[in-house]
Amino acid sequence: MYKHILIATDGSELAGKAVATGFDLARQLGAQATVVTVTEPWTAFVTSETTFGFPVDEYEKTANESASRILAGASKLARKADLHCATVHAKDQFPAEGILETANKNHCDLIVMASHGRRGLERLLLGSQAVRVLTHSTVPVLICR
Amino acid sequence: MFQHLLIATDGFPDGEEALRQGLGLAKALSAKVTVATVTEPWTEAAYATLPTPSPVQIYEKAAAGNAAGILDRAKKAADQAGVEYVTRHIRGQLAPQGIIKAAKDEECDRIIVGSHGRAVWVASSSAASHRKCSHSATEPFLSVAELPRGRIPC
Repeated sequence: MYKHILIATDGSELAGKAVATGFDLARQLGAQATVVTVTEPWTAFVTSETTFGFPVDEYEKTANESASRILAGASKLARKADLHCATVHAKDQFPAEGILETANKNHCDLIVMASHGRRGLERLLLGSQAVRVLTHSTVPVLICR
Repeated sequence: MFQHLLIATDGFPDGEEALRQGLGLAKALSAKVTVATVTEPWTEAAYATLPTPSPVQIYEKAAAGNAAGILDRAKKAADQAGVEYVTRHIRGQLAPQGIIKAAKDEECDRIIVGSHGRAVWVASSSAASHRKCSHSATEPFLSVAELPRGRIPC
């Protein structure tokens, strides 16, 4: 069945469900698992005061630290599940594009992700990034909610 | 988790791909399967120019025949895959509501749908049923988008 599962997480609680589901599926199918987290490009589209206090290098440092923390958490969970997983930090991308590109580069044949990201508005029944991945993916997508 | 999969198909290519993927997954995970196909309610608009004596009965007979054909093919595929299955024809519902109803009635824990249904061929909308289904489903769902064919972006 599926040979290489890409699991997307932004460290949120709901993404945690996607990680657990992805690992469970990988274990049962004997598939390879890769966990990806995406950080967006720095943007100056904030108030001038904030921009001043949050320059590009500072942003990148914070984004790297956050991604490392998220991926370390996923690796720990994988070890607990007795599973080996690769981790990818896709930098300077919007989440859907980062997820799709990582899936493509790694020849993943299934994407597992949450219906909403960290910023997902609950009033939207399906988050914008999940919609984008569903729309543009050429491989099956498992949406966890 | 992954114990009972609801596979929805309308007999069109993406639905049949969902069936293929769903049966493969069920086999690999030893899960049960419910294959559902949904037929929409009769609407007079479709028959407005055809003054047939009993169009509702004619429509329902045609819909039942079509559903039976789709489910017969699904049964053959499920038998070949060696998967435990039941089939359901959900009548008089729009596709997303029918799929979700079937998943609830059969207590499925996963829904597998194609990215595009028959309607996309007719109306050129972008996977409308699929999106409606994905918006309303309470179970996790696996959307099968195996066959890229220049679909219209959202």
